[in-house]
Amino acid sequence: MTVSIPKRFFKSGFKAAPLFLVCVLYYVIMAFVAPGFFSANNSWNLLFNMMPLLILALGQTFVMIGGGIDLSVTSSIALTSVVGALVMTSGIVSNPIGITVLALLVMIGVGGAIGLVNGVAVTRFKMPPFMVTLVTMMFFSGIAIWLTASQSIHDLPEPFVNFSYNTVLGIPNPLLAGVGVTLCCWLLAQKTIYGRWMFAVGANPKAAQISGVPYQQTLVITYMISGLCGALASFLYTSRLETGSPVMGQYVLLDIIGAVVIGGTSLFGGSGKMIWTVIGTLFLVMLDNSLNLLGLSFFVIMICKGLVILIAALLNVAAARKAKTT
Amino acid sequence: MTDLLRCEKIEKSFGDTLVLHQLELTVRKNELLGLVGENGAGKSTLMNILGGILPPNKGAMLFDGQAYAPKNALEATQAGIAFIHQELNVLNHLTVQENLFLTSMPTKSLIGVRLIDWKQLEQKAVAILNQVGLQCSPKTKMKDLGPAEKQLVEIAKVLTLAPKLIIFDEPTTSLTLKERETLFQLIATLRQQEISMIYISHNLDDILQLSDRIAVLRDGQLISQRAAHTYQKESMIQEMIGRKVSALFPDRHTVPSTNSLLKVEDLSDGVNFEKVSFELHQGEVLGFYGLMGAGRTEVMQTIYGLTPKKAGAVYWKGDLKKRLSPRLWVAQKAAFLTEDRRAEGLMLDHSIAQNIGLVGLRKWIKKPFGLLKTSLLSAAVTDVFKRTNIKAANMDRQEVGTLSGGNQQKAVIAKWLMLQPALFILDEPTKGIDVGAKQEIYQQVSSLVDQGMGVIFVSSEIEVLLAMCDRILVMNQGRVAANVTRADFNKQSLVDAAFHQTETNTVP
Repeated sequence: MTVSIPKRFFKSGFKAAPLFLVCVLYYVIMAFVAPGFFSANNSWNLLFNMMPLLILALGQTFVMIGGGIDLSVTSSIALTSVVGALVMTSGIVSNPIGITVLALLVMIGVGGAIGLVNGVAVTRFKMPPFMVTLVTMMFFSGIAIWLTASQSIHDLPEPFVNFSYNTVLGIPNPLLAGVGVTLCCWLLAQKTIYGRWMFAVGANPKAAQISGVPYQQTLVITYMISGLCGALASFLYTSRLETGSPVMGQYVLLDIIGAVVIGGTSLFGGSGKMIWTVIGTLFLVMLDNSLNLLGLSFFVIMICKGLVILIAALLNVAAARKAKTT
Repeated sequence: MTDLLRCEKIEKSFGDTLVLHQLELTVRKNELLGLVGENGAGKSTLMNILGGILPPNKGAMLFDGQAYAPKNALEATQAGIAFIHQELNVLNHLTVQENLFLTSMPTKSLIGVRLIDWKQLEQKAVAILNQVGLQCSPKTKMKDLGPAEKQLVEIAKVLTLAPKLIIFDEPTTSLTLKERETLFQLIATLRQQEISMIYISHNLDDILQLSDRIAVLRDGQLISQRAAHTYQKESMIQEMIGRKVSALFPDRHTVPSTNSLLKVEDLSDGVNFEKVSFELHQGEVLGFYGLMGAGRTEVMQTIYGLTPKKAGAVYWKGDLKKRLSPRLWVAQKAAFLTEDRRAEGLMLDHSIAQNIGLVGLRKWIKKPFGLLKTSLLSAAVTDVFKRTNIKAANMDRQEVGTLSGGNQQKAVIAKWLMLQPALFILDEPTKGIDVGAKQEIYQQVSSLVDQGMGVIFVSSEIEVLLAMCDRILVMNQGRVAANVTRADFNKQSLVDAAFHQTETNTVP
C-alpha cells in the first residue's frame, strides 16, 4: 500500500515530484546543519510564515499560466494594506469585528480593481504585460504613499490584530486561509471550464479565440485573481505587523515569481499547476529560513535565492525548448 | 554516373521508436532525386541527419567520395549540402543584399578598420540575383517581396555557398501556380550547373515531372528507388502507404436541401476582397477555388469574426448576424478549420485530449460554479478520438505537437466534431498532409454532409474540389469570378476564371 502512493504520483504526470524530493532532502540536511532548524517550533513557524507568500504565488501562477506576468502585485499589497488600515481607523462602524470585515471587503475590492486595470490594459490595448504591470506597480505604490504621506497607520482594531494568532480547532487562521486559498485555486484551475480556458489561452491565444474561448475575459480574470490574492496576503501581513504600511511587500516580488518558477510553471504560459507552486513556495521559504539560521547576512541570502531562482528559470526554459523539438 | 551521396544502413530511433531502419539511399552526380513518403515515413529525420542536426545511431554516409558525418549544420554547409525549407527563413527588415551575404559580407579596410564594402556587396548581389532570375533591386527590403520572390532569395543565398547538393523540402506549398513554374525553371537551370538536388514533396505530379529518379520511403525504410519513368502516380501511392487506395475520393451522392444555412451579401473587408455574395444550403459542399492571395481565406476569417468587416451582411439560417465573432459561431455550432493548424488550430504543448476537449465545453458544465463533468467530457472526447482515427499511443498523455501533420489535422477536426457542427468551414484542410490522411478527411467530410451538415471547402487543388463539391465558387483578386454547380463543372473554365485577370496584371 505504501508503494502505491508515490507510483500514482509519478503516473499522474506529477512533474514536480523531483522537486518534492529535493525539498525533503534539503529539510533533512538542514536538520543536521542549521542550528535550531529541526524543531517543532521552527517548522511550525516556517509553515505559518509561508502562507502570505503562498497566496501571492498562487495568484501569480494564474497570470503566468495565462502567459503574462504581474509585477504590480506588490503595489496591491501596499495599497490594500493602507486602504484597509484607513477603513479600520476611520470609525465608520463602531463594532470592531464589523469594521474588520468591512476593511477586508474593501481590500478585496481594491485588489480586484488593480487586477482589472492590468487585465484590461493587456487585453484591450494589447500592451505587453511586463510594461503594464511595471507601470501600475509604480502608479499604485505611489498612491499608497501619497494617501498616507509616507506614514504607517497604527492602532488597528483588536480582532484584526489578533487574527493571525487566533485558531480554529487548534489551527492558526493564516494556515486555514492559506489552505483554503490553495484549495479554491486548485478547483478553479483543474476542475472548472474557466481553468481549461486559461490553459488554452496561455498555450495558444489565437487557437483559443477561434475555438470560441472568451480569451480576453479569461486573461482579465487571471490578473484579477492575482490582485485579489495580493489583498488577502496583505490582510495577513497587515494583521501580523499590526500596521498599515505603504511600503509593505516591496521586497517580496522576486520571492513570488521565484516560487512560481521553482514550482515549474512555464515562463511562456500554458502549463503549470497549483500544487507545483505550493512546493516551490515551500522550498523557497525553507531556503530563506535555513540560511538565516546559519547566520548568513541578508545580502548573502539574496544571492543564494537569486541563484536558485536562476537555475529554476534555466531548467524551465530548457524544458520548454525540449517540448518544442520533440 | 557516379554517386554523390550514399547512405549506408542508416538507423535512427527516438526512445523506443525506430524512425529509420537500415536505410539505404543514393544520390547520383547531377541528378534530381524525388523523395516521397507519407508523413512520419522518416523523410524529415533523414534530412536532419544529412543536415547535421541529428546524428544517426548506426550506419555511414559517403559524400563526394569522402566519409561524411556532420556534427552540426555548419559542417553540412561546408561540405556542400544546402537546404531550402518549407518555411521561409528570411530577415524581413533587412534588405535583399544583406540577407544574401549575412554571414559573408564583403569588407574593405579603412585605416585598419574593417568596414562593409557596400559597392562590392551590391555587385555580388546583382550577379547572384541574375542567376536565379529575380528582377529586383538588391536594396529592396525583404518584407516588400512576395513569398515566391523571398524563396528565390533563399535559393540565391544558398547558391552563394557553392553547394554540390541542394535539398528542397516542400518548396511549393506557399507558391501560386505561376510562381511554381518560375521555380521549376530555376531548378532546370541549376541542373545545367551540375548541382544535384533532392526534391521532397507530397505533390506527386511535380515529383514525376521533375525527377530523374524517385525514392519511396515508408516506415523508415527505402521501399524503392528507380528511374522516374518507371513510376506511375497510382503505383507510387500504393508503395507509399503499403496498401491499395481503392478510391481517393468518396462517392458524393447526397443532394443539398433548399434550406439556407449561411447567406453572405456583398461582404467586403476593404482590403482583400469586395462584394462577395453566396449562399450555402444544408447538406451542401461549397468549394472556394482561386489562386493564393485571391481573398478566399480572408473571406472566411471575416465571416468567422477574426478580422473586421467593412460592409455587407451575414445571415445564419435566415437571421441577420450583426456582430460576428468566434463565440457567436461556436454557440451556433459553426466550426472553422483554419489554414494554419499549428498557429491557429492547436495548443501544441497540450495533450490530444485537452485539444479535442476545448470546443463546446459549455455543454459539460455543472451549475452553478462552472465545475466540469469530467467523466462525461472525457467519454465524449474518447468517442470523437476514435471516430477520427487519430494514430496516437495515448490521447491523455501525448502532446498534439508530436503527431504527424495528418494526425494533427485529424485532431483539429476532432476538436470541432465535439460541437456536432451544422456548418464546417475547411480552409485548405489537406495542406501538407499525406495521402492516407487526405483520404480519411475526405471520407469524414462526406459522411458529415450525409448527416445534413453544410461545408465550405477552400482549396487550391481543383481536382479535390471537383470531386468533393456540389458547387464551386471561384475567387479572383478579391471578387467572385464564377459560381458553378456540379452539373456544369468544367475544369478548364474554372481554372481560367481563377487566372483570368491576373494575366493582364503582371507581377511588378
